[in-house]
Amino acid sequence: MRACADCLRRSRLLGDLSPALDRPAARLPLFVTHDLEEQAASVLGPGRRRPRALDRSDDDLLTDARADEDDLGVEALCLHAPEYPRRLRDLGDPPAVLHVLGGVERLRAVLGPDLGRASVAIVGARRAPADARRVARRLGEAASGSGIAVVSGMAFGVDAAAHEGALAPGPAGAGVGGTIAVLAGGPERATPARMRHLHERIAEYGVVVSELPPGVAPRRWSFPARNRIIAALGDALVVVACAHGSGSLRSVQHAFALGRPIGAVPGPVLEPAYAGSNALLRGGSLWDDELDAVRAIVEPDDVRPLLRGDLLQPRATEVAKTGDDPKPQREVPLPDGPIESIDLLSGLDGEARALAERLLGGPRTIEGLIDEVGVSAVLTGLGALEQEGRLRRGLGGDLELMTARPRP
Amino acid sequence: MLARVHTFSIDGLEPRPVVVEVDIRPGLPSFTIVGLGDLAVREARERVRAALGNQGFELPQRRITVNLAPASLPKGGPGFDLAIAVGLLAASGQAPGVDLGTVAVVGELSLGGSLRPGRGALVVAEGARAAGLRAIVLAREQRDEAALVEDVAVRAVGTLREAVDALADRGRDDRPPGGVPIAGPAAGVPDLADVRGQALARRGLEVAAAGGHSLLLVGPPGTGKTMLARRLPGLLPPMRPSEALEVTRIHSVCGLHDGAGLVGERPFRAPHHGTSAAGLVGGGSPGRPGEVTLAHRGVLFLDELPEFRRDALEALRQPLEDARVVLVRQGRTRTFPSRTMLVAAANPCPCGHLGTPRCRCGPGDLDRYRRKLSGPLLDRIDLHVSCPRPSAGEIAGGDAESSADVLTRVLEAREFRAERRRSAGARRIEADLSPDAATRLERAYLAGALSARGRARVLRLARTVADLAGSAAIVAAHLDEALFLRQHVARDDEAVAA
Repeated sequence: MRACADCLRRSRLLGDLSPALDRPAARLPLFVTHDLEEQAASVLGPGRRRPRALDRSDDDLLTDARADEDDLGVEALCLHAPEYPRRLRDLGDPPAVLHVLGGVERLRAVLGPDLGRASVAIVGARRAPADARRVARRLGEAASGSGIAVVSGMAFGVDAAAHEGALAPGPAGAGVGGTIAVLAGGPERATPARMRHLHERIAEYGVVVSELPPGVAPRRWSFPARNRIIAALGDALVVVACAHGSGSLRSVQHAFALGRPIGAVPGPVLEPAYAGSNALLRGGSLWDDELDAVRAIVEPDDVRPLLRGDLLQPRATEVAKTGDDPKPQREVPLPDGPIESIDLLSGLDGEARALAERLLGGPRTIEGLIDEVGVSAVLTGLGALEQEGRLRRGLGGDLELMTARPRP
Repeated sequence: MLARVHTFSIDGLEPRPVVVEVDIRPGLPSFTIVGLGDLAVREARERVRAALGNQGFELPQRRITVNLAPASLPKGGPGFDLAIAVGLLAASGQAPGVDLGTVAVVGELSLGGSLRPGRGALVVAEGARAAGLRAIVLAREQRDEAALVEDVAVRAVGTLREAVDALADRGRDDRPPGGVPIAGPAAGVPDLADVRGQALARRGLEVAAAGGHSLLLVGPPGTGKTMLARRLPGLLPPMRPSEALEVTRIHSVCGLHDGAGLVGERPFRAPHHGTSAAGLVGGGSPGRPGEVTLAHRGVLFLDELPEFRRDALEALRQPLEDARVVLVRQGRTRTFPSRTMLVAAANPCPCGHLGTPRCRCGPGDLDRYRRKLSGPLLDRIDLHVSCPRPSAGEIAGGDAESSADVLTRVLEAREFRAERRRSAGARRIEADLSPDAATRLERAYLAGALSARGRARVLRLARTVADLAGSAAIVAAHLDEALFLRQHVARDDEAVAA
């Protein structure tokens, strides 16, 4: 445990207030006030029961935090600890305590011993088209494989795909960036619950963090709130497919306010699922005149100039509007080589390779392949690919090539 | 005076000998039927009364008691009408010279005295033979069916009066000259050439037909899943006479057969997804065969599999595994055969349009649906095959391969298997695995992709694929194909949908 009682109290209070924060009237004063009593009163309104966190002794808070660490493996890391990721301090309202599942060691594995490793946040729609999930997975895989950490929110769709991709090169460590999942509830519990397998794997090979203490369920308010942490933990933010008015655009606004470079993956212009991210690329949708503030991400290596800050424009006018001081941009340690797309064909030979080459162009249906090479060659080849874990089949009959997994 | 007439009650699929005893004695005029008859048996009084009158006989104005023995056996249906009427005539002396001792009498009477065909003529004829009776009198329409049983003379009649005449005519046998015609597959059997595209599903059907494996088709609505399933019976070898006899027996008892000889076509049953467990596997009181028994030696098609009631699907597991249904009703155990091929169809998601912009299913919907799809029944389905929407080119294209061509390969594979078994004797399938096929199988098993049951099923599937290829050994390519066809489509999609 690396947290002081004051910060723990603030964090617990957030947990206590969590249900009330969902009331529309209670939104605003959340992270602004520094007087806890005042904060609680403004959220709860008059005559409500006083939150327990306000009346607990420092000893109790510290004991609880230690118990969480022993029982659940969730380490509390407060604003004043040297291990607290510096990037979070860029926020006007940084979380008082970062709850880390697996402890600081996991965080160090992902962000490097000095917690300074380059990272990229990948966000996008939950109901994302299969193509977008595929892009997110490849992006995550390439970034993690080049030693860049991938930050996302473990939601369905793009988030999950980005995490999946980032886990593919193996456990986070030297040369492998791994992945950070920022949850909207306590970090020990997988939310949404159906992500528990992914949660387990991220906890083991990457790291799961949250602003909220263990045992607090996610609420409506806590999703946009954690988006700011995702934006802050990434040195850059990449949007993969979001529609107009999507919650991912909130993350973009946070990243923008933080001065983080922003990228977006272009999508088909007729597809509403990409309307939001395409509009970002056109410019002018979130702010007035910075046409090229968002960089198009077409291949994984496009993330590098983004991280280097090449295209970053001075956004003094915007920053002035939000009222924050401009933060000095930190020097991001970039990987030496280019961020290469993972070779999907590596380790394949013979018929399996011939078939895999046909799958390279994107999702194919079995029917189409059978037309080209005949039924028995297709079934045999696909069966072999599937046994190698190199093929995924959708219920709709679409096929997708996967990269080689490191053998455990 | 007392008369005794032999007849049969059908209990499940079995004939049970029943003796109709008619006693007429002086007393107040009355007509009573006893012996655990159901409502239809009690109503026989009115039919018999009218039929006697209209055929020019008389109902004696005396005290008439009819007993259906044994009294402990519940009896149902209108099939006792003729036996009661004949017994009455014999007991009242209106039918001199009839021989009731060695003849079984079955049939339902209309008010005019004509005979209506009942159910289960074949079963009754078998019962007559087993009971040592020499002849059977029944409705004309059922002559061919009853004639399937050797050693029992068939006397087919149209009215009560004809029946009385037939009973007096001791040597008479109406069985068709030249034996019973065995109806071949009717001309109306749909052909595989009508199905556009679906190359994978075609292969799935072929493998299923060659090895008798069960099959799941997954695809959006309107891609031909039902069409494909309906064509499976046409890909199976014609039924052997003994098989046809089993099917005829079942269908005749259940009233699905018109009595004209042997059923020539393999059954295809497609019960609606609202069907109850009793409807699928059999049940009710007294136990009646369910759809799985009606599909014996044929195909049971469950369209919209996830929409079926959970308990109904659970109930199907045992019958499919054991090829028979054991029902215990009213203290009696009945066993029905259920050697059927299961073909199931499912949409890829609740709305059916997964992967297209039309799909409005959320991850929660998908997850619930997938859980329904991956129940224990699914583990028992050998092949999982997707049926995508055919492309415009495929729809516009010419006729595809016909059922006859596929059937030829299926027959060759089955012949090859039979030959292989004859020459090699009984041996475990594992012994046929080539070394690299064996490694692959072990790897898939150790990776957790297969359950122990799944492993056994993949082996059987690989054996069939090898048989289709005419290969005595199962090589890696056969195993790969088997693994691909077996792989659960539902489970594999999970991560992608995440």
